[in-house]
Amino acid sequence: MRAINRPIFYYGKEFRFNRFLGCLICEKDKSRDDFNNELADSISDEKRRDIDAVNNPFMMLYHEKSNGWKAIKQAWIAKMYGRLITWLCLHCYPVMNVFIHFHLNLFSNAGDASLFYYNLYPDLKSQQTLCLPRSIFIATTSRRFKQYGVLFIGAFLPTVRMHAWIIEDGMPADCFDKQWIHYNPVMIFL
Amino acid sequence: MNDKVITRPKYYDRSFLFYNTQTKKKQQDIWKELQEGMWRDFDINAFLENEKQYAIHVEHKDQIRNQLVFPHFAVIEPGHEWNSEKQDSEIVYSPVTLVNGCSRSSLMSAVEEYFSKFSGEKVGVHLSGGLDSSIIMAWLRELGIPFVAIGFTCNRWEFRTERRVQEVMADYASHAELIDIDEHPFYSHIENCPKCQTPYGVAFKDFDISQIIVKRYRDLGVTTVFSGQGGDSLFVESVGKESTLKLAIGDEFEVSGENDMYYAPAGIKLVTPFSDMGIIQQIASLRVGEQEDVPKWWARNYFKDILPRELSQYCYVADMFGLSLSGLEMAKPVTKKLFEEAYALTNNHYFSPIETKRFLESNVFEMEFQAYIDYGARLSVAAWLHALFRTEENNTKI
Repeated sequence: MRAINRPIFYYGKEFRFNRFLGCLICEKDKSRDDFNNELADSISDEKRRDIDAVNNPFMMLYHEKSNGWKAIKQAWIAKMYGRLITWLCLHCYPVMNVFIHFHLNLFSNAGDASLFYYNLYPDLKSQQTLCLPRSIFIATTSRRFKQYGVLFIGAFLPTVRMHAWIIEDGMPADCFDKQWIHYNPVMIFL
Repeated sequence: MNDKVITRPKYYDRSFLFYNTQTKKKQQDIWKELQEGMWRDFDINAFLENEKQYAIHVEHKDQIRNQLVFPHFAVIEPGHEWNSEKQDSEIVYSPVTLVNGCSRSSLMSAVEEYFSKFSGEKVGVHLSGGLDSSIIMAWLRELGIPFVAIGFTCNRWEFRTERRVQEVMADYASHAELIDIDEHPFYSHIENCPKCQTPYGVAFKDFDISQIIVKRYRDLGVTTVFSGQGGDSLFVESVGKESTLKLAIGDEFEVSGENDMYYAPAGIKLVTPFSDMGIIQQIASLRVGEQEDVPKWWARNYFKDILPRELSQYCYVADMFGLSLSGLEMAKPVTKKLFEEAYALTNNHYFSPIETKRFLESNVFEMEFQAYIDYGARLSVAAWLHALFRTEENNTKI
């Protein structure tokens, strides 16, 4: 998975995401790089659509919940993998930079992967703190993600809150997540 | 402090009433008591606790038990009534009789009847980008009633969906203006906020931007402004199949406080169509059988023919928390002065130099919601005290 840094310039400061430490770094404004040129040259139309939908949420599509996640054959693998990803994210974040490149292809799409992960940790309140492992789980287990999906990590400035979410096929993978709209992407994984 | 004089302002929030626990009677106001020194007995601890409880239990306001903030007076908030048995105020619920046979046509008849009360006036609507005020705009357009739309806007990321809706809804108005909130951030000029009888009524967060918007309405000759207040209840609450519904109209539908403090001084009336019983009855009757609907999908779908797709197909709502925190940070110099003044007046430890220093050194951007509520509550006490002793024109000296 390719990572593209998307620094945010906010009232004289520059905010960048450090993917190895997993945190937002704030620096005094330097030169204002035009990152859009890089994105325009090297992104497929499908992924460009996902990014555009985050910039303009009124382009976003929404899908109905399906039960496809219940029918996967290797559910036990998905469970083990889900719990491992979650534990690593919470206790050993730098290792996530390795796992983010996995492609297990367990689910037909990101929506199914998302619902499976919610079933793994049914308490909706704790799911609020599991956005990153959930997003990595979805990105690495959805068959469509490699070609049609984008993982976003965003910041809600000027607070220190961060959030991670997936857009695939121009749709949010997570039907329970209404928060993504407030977070300005600082890093994009394609 | 003995020569401190409190004068009753001509305009203040009259929607708050008071229950005298000694005389066992309700009072319209407590200006006389404040002038006699009751402000010194204000219980800041009780106030902070009440604010904290409200933030925790806002979804279940009936369960909140307020502590007295004055020794012998209970504050009766708008839409509440004093319950002698419980020795506390409680929300007043108004019955709404549901009727059969309602339709879009009967609803629009009720809407038209409501707006006819303002015929001949130049009217305005808040251009907020939200669903409720947008529905009002759509109604006015459908009825061929011209209106002015003014609101605030900002360039923040989380506000991008509201900006788009404001852009679309501006076309519904005969004249539309958007004021940049970065020029009038939240908590700016709080030292000038209106005088109130308690910190509960201190409306200082959006004081500056509200003043600017009201002035623009006045300059444009608007005499009545329609607010979308009440839509959050009318379009959200579940409606059972019983023949009567109960709604907290005074608590959730009225805008009398905002009207008293901001609009009345400018000669403008602020009203909300959603508090009209005819409209309430129609909409509630149309929604019979609907479950709780926080995103207001029923309203978005029902009015999709008169609303833009941005509102009928999506339920985005901007989070104002970032704006609030930015405003608090920028207001720190004024906060320091208000705290110093509050300490000189009360000698209360919350405003002591050490506590003020600690308070102002806190990183507002790391605040969670509870800490923000506490911060805002202390600031409202300091702003209230400052405003109490401000001399103003047209006061009635008690």
